[in-house]
Amino acid sequence: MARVAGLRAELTRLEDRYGVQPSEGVLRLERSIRQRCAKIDTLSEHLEEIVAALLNLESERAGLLTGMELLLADEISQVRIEQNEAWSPWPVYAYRLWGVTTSGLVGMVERWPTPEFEATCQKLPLNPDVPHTDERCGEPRCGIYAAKRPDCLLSEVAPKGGWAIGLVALTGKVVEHDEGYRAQRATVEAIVIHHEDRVLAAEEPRMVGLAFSATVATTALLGRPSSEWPVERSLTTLYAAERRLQWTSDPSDA
Amino acid sequence: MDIGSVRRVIEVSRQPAPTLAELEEVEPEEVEEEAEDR
Repeated sequence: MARVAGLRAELTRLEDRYGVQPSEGVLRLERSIRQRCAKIDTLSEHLEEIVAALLNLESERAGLLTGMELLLADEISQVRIEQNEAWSPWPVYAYRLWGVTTSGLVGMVERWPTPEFEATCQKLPLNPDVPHTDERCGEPRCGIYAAKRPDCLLSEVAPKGGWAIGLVALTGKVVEHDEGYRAQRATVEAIVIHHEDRVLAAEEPRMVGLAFSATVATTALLGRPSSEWPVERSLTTLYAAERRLQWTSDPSDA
Repeated sequence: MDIGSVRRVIEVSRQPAPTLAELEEVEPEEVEEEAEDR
Protein backbone atom coordinates (compact mmCIF):
# COMPACT_ATOMS: atom_id res chain seq x y z
CA MET A 1 0.00 0.00 0.00
CA ALA A 2 2.74 2.50 1.00
CA ARG A 3 4.78 1.82 -2.13
CA VAL A 4 1.70 2.29 -4.35
CA ALA A 5 0.84 5.53 -2.53
CA GLY A 6 4.38 6.80 -3.02
CA LEU A 7 4.37 5.99 -6.71
CA ARG A 8 0.92 7.62 -7.16
CA ALA A 9 2.16 10.81 -5.43
CA GLU A 10 5.18 10.89 -7.75
CA LEU A 11 2.89 10.55 -10.80
CA THR A 12 0.72 13.41 -9.46
CA ARG A 13 3.80 15.62 -9.17
CA LEU A 14 4.67 14.82 -12.78
CA GLU A 15 1.07 15.59 -13.80
CA ASP A 16 1.43 19.04 -12.20
CA ARG A 17 4.86 19.54 -13.59
CA TYR A 18 4.14 18.61 -17.19
CA GLY A 19 0.32 18.82 -17.46
CA VAL A 20 0.02 15.14 -18.42
CA GLN A 21 -2.97 12.96 -17.51
CA PRO A 22 -2.81 9.50 -15.87
CA SER A 23 -3.79 6.61 -18.11
CA GLU A 24 -7.26 5.06 -18.00
CA GLY A 25 -5.69 1.91 -16.55
CA VAL A 26 -4.30 3.80 -13.54
CA LEU A 27 -7.63 5.56 -12.94
CA ARG A 28 -9.59 2.29 -13.22
CA LEU A 29 -7.31 0.48 -10.81
CA GLU A 30 -7.43 3.46 -8.45
CA ARG A 31 -11.24 3.30 -8.34
CA SER A 32 -11.22 -0.43 -7.76
CA ILE A 33 -8.72 -0.09 -4.90
CA ARG A 34 -10.80 2.69 -3.26
CA GLN A 35 -13.93 0.53 -3.46
CA ARG A 36 -12.14 -2.41 -1.85
CA CYS A 37 -10.73 -0.20 0.91
CA ALA A 38 -14.21 1.13 1.70
CA LYS A 39 -15.63 -2.40 1.91
CA ILE A 40 -12.73 -3.54 4.10
CA ASP A 41 -13.33 -0.59 6.47
CA THR A 42 -17.06 -1.41 6.67
CA LEU A 43 -16.46 -5.09 7.34
CA SER A 44 -13.76 -4.29 9.93
CA GLU A 45 -16.26 -2.18 11.83
CA HIS A 46 -18.76 -5.08 11.76
CA LEU A 47 -16.02 -7.49 12.82
CA GLU A 48 -15.25 -5.39 15.87
CA GLU A 49 -18.96 -5.39 16.74
CA ILE A 50 -19.14 -9.18 16.24
CA VAL A 51 -16.06 -9.83 18.41
CA ALA A 52 -17.43 -7.52 21.12
CA ALA A 53 -20.83 -9.29 20.97
CA LEU A 54 -19.11 -12.71 21.07
CA LEU A 55 -17.06 -11.78 24.13
CA ASN A 56 -20.17 -10.42 25.82
CA LEU A 57 -22.17 -13.59 25.07
CA GLU A 58 -19.35 -15.81 26.34
CA SER A 59 -19.24 -13.81 29.57
CA GLU A 60 -23.03 -14.06 29.96
CA ARG A 61 -22.92 -17.80 29.24
CA ALA A 62 -20.24 -18.33 31.93
CA GLY A 63 -22.45 -16.53 34.46
CA LEU A 64 -25.52 -18.54 33.43
CA LEU A 65 -23.60 -21.83 33.64
CA THR A 66 -22.47 -20.97 37.17
CA GLY A 67 -26.07 -20.19 38.11
CA MET A 68 -27.29 -23.39 36.42
CA GLU A 69 -24.69 -25.47 38.31
CA LEU A 70 -25.83 -24.04 41.63
CA LEU A 71 -29.51 -24.50 40.76
CA LEU A 72 -29.02 -28.09 39.59
CA ALA A 73 -27.04 -28.99 42.71
CA ASP A 74 -29.78 -27.43 44.84
CA GLU A 75 -32.59 -29.27 43.01
CA ILE A 76 -30.72 -32.59 43.20
CA SER A 77 -30.22 -32.03 46.91
CA GLN A 78 -33.90 -31.11 47.36
CA VAL A 79 -35.14 -34.22 45.52
CA ARG A 80 -32.85 -36.43 47.62
CA ILE A 81 -34.06 -34.79 50.84
CA GLU A 82 -37.74 -35.02 49.80
CA GLN A 83 -37.31 -38.67 48.87
CA ASN A 84 -35.46 -39.39 52.13
CA GLU A 85 -32.43 -40.57 50.16
CA ALA A 86 -29.22 -41.17 52.09
CA TRP A 87 -25.56 -41.27 51.06
CA SER A 88 -22.85 -43.37 52.62
CA PRO A 89 -19.16 -43.83 51.90
CA TRP A 90 -19.28 -47.21 53.64
CA PRO A 91 -20.97 -50.33 52.32
CA VAL A 92 -24.25 -51.57 53.69
CA TYR A 93 -23.72 -55.02 55.21
CA ALA A 94 -26.44 -57.65 54.84
CA TYR A 95 -26.97 -61.39 54.49
CA ARG A 96 -28.11 -63.69 51.74
CA LEU A 97 -28.51 -67.33 50.78
CA TRP A 98 -27.27 -69.40 47.85
CA GLY A 99 -28.01 -72.89 46.77
CA VAL A 100 -25.09 -75.28 46.20
CA THR A 101 -25.05 -77.12 42.88
CA THR A 102 -22.34 -79.04 41.09
CA SER A 103 -21.64 -75.92 39.03
CA GLY A 104 -21.29 -73.68 42.06
CA LEU A 105 -23.27 -71.20 44.13
CA VAL A 106 -26.62 -70.19 42.71
CA GLY A 107 -28.72 -67.20 43.76
CA MET A 108 -32.43 -66.72 43.19
CA VAL A 109 -31.94 -66.16 39.47
CA GLU A 110 -28.48 -67.19 38.38
CA ARG A 111 -25.11 -68.59 39.36
CA TRP A 112 -22.56 -66.39 41.06
CA PRO A 113 -19.21 -67.32 39.46
CA THR A 114 -17.27 -64.91 41.69
CA PRO A 115 -17.86 -63.17 45.05
CA GLU A 116 -18.62 -59.92 43.18
CA PHE A 117 -21.95 -59.50 41.48
CA GLU A 118 -23.66 -56.61 39.70
CA ALA A 119 -27.40 -56.50 39.18
CA THR A 120 -29.11 -55.99 35.84
CA CYS A 121 -32.79 -55.61 35.03
CA GLN A 122 -33.98 -57.97 32.32
CA LYS A 123 -37.30 -56.15 31.97
CA LEU A 124 -35.81 -52.65 31.61
CA PRO A 125 -32.29 -53.25 30.29
CA LEU A 126 -32.01 -49.72 28.87
CA ASN A 127 -32.67 -48.03 32.22
CA PRO A 128 -29.36 -48.24 34.11
CA ASP A 129 -30.66 -46.97 37.46
CA VAL A 130 -30.75 -50.50 38.90
CA PRO A 131 -32.37 -51.55 41.21
CA HIS A 132 -35.44 -49.71 39.99
CA THR A 133 -37.58 -47.93 42.54
CA ASP A 134 -40.57 -47.18 40.34
CA GLU A 135 -43.14 -49.87 39.66
CA ARG A 136 -42.29 -50.38 35.99
CA CYS A 137 -40.18 -53.50 36.21
CA GLY A 138 -42.87 -55.36 38.17
CA GLU A 139 -42.47 -58.30 40.53
CA PRO A 140 -40.05 -59.57 41.51
CA ARG A 141 -38.28 -56.27 41.51
CA CYS A 142 -34.74 -56.18 40.19
CA GLY A 143 -31.56 -55.98 42.27
CA ILE A 144 -29.43 -58.20 44.46
CA TYR A 145 -31.57 -59.22 47.42
CA ALA A 146 -30.16 -59.40 50.93
CA ALA A 147 -31.68 -59.58 54.40
CA LYS A 148 -30.87 -57.33 57.34
CA ARG A 149 -30.64 -60.33 59.67
CA PRO A 150 -29.28 -63.77 58.81
CA ASP A 151 -31.52 -65.76 61.18
CA CYS A 152 -34.69 -65.03 59.20
CA LEU A 153 -33.06 -66.58 56.13
CA LEU A 154 -32.76 -70.02 57.73
CA SER A 155 -36.46 -70.73 57.23
CA GLU A 156 -35.86 -70.46 53.48
CA VAL A 157 -33.10 -73.08 53.39
CA ALA A 158 -34.08 -75.90 51.06
CA PRO A 159 -34.29 -79.21 52.94
CA LYS A 160 -32.43 -81.02 50.15
CA GLY A 161 -29.09 -80.12 48.63
CA GLY A 162 -26.42 -77.85 49.92
CA TRP A 163 -26.81 -74.24 50.85
CA ALA A 164 -24.66 -71.31 51.78
CA ILE A 165 -25.21 -68.22 53.83
CA GLY A 166 -23.02 -65.17 53.48
CA LEU A 167 -22.29 -61.63 54.54
CA VAL A 168 -22.36 -59.21 51.61
CA ALA A 169 -21.17 -55.61 51.29
CA LEU A 170 -23.71 -53.73 49.23
CA THR A 171 -22.61 -50.72 47.20
CA GLY A 172 -23.87 -48.42 44.47
CA LYS A 173 -27.62 -47.85 44.61
CA VAL A 174 -29.01 -49.69 47.63
CA VAL A 175 -32.77 -49.73 48.17
CA GLU A 176 -33.64 -50.27 51.81
CA HIS A 177 -36.81 -52.26 52.56
CA ASP A 178 -38.36 -53.13 55.92
CA GLU A 179 -36.52 -56.44 56.26
CA GLY A 180 -33.71 -56.21 53.74
CA TYR A 181 -32.19 -54.53 50.74
CA ARG A 182 -32.04 -54.63 46.96
CA ALA A 183 -28.61 -53.53 45.74
CA GLN A 184 -26.82 -52.61 42.55
CA ARG A 185 -23.55 -54.33 43.53
CA ALA A 186 -22.58 -56.89 46.14
CA THR A 187 -19.27 -58.30 47.32
CA VAL A 188 -19.25 -61.38 49.50
CA GLU A 189 -17.12 -60.70 52.58
CA ALA A 190 -17.70 -64.00 54.39
CA ILE A 191 -19.55 -67.19 53.59
CA VAL A 192 -20.44 -70.50 55.25
CA ILE A 193 -21.21 -73.39 52.91
CA HIS A 194 -23.16 -76.43 54.07
CA HIS A 195 -22.83 -79.26 51.61
CA GLU A 196 -23.40 -82.93 52.33
CA ASP A 197 -21.59 -83.68 55.57
CA ARG A 198 -19.11 -80.80 55.38
CA VAL A 199 -19.19 -77.12 56.36
CA LEU A 200 -16.76 -74.59 54.98
CA ALA A 201 -16.44 -71.12 56.52
CA ALA A 202 -14.46 -68.61 54.47
CA GLU A 203 -13.61 -64.99 55.17
CA GLU A 204 -10.14 -64.50 53.74
CA PRO A 205 -10.66 -63.06 50.21
CA ARG A 206 -8.75 -65.79 48.34
CA MET A 207 -10.63 -68.49 50.21
CA VAL A 208 -13.95 -66.77 49.49
CA GLY A 209 -12.99 -66.64 45.80
CA LEU A 210 -12.15 -70.34 45.85
CA ALA A 211 -15.47 -71.08 47.53
CA PHE A 212 -17.23 -69.54 44.55
CA SER A 213 -15.03 -70.90 41.75
CA ALA A 214 -14.85 -74.49 43.04
CA THR A 215 -17.60 -74.73 45.62
CA VAL A 216 -18.14 -78.47 45.96
CA ALA A 217 -14.48 -79.47 45.79
CA THR A 218 -13.31 -76.77 48.19
CA THR A 219 -16.00 -77.64 50.71
CA ALA A 220 -15.24 -81.35 50.48
CA LEU A 221 -11.49 -80.83 50.85
CA LEU A 222 -11.28 -77.99 53.36
CA GLY A 223 -14.65 -78.18 55.15
CA ARG A 224 -15.17 -79.44 58.66
CA PRO A 225 -17.54 -82.25 59.58
CA SER A 226 -21.07 -80.86 59.86
CA SER A 227 -21.50 -82.74 63.14
CA GLU A 228 -19.03 -80.26 64.68
CA TRP A 229 -20.77 -77.24 63.19
CA PRO A 230 -24.37 -76.47 64.26
CA VAL A 231 -26.26 -74.04 62.08
CA GLU A 232 -26.19 -71.38 64.80
CA ARG A 233 -22.40 -71.31 64.50
CA SER A 234 -22.77 -70.15 60.91
CA LEU A 235 -24.75 -67.16 62.14
CA THR A 236 -22.26 -66.28 64.89
CA THR A 237 -19.41 -66.59 62.37
CA LEU A 238 -21.08 -64.09 60.05
CA TYR A 239 -22.04 -61.75 62.91
CA ALA A 240 -18.38 -61.71 63.99
CA ALA A 241 -17.25 -60.99 60.44
CA GLU A 242 -19.67 -58.08 60.20
CA ARG A 243 -18.46 -56.65 63.52
CA ARG A 244 -14.86 -56.76 62.30
CA LEU A 245 -15.81 -54.98 59.07
CA GLN A 246 -17.88 -52.36 60.88
CA TRP A 247 -14.97 -51.59 63.18
CA THR A 248 -12.48 -51.21 60.37
CA SER A 249 -14.80 -48.95 58.37
CA ASP A 250 -15.83 -46.75 61.28
CA PRO A 251 -14.50 -43.20 60.67
CA SER A 252 -14.03 -42.68 64.41
CA ASP A 253 -11.23 -45.26 64.28
CA ALA A 254 -9.17 -43.11 61.94
CA MET B 1 -37.71 -63.57 49.35
CA ASP B 2 -40.04 -61.07 50.99
CA ILE B 3 -38.17 -58.07 52.28
CA GLY B 4 -41.16 -55.81 52.87
CA SER B 5 -41.90 -52.32 51.65
CA VAL B 6 -39.42 -49.76 50.32
CA ARG B 7 -38.13 -47.37 52.96
CA ARG B 8 -35.52 -45.28 51.17
CA VAL B 9 -32.60 -45.27 48.75
CA ILE B 10 -29.02 -45.21 49.98
CA GLU B 11 -26.26 -44.16 47.60
CA VAL B 12 -23.06 -45.94 48.58
CA SER B 13 -20.11 -44.47 46.77
CA ARG B 14 -16.53 -43.75 47.65
CA GLN B 15 -13.40 -43.40 45.58
CA PRO B 16 -11.22 -46.22 46.85
CA ALA B 17 -8.12 -44.98 48.64
CA PRO B 18 -4.96 -45.60 46.59
CA THR B 19 -2.86 -48.55 47.69
CA LEU B 20 0.76 -48.06 48.71
CA ALA B 21 1.84 -49.70 45.44
CA GLU B 22 -0.26 -47.25 43.43
CA LEU B 23 1.20 -44.32 45.34
CA GLU B 24 4.73 -45.55 44.62
CA GLU B 25 3.90 -45.78 40.91
CA VAL B 26 3.50 -41.98 40.73
CA GLU B 27 6.70 -40.45 39.42
CA PRO B 28 7.99 -37.29 41.15
CA GLU B 29 7.93 -35.48 37.77
CA GLU B 30 4.15 -36.07 37.50
CA VAL B 31 3.59 -34.47 40.90
CA GLU B 32 5.76 -31.49 39.95
CA GLU B 33 3.89 -31.06 36.66
CA GLU B 34 0.55 -31.12 38.45
CA ALA B 35 1.80 -28.51 40.93
CA GLU B 36 2.95 -26.31 38.04
CA ASP B 37 -0.44 -26.67 36.32
CA ARG B 38 -2.13 -25.41 39.46
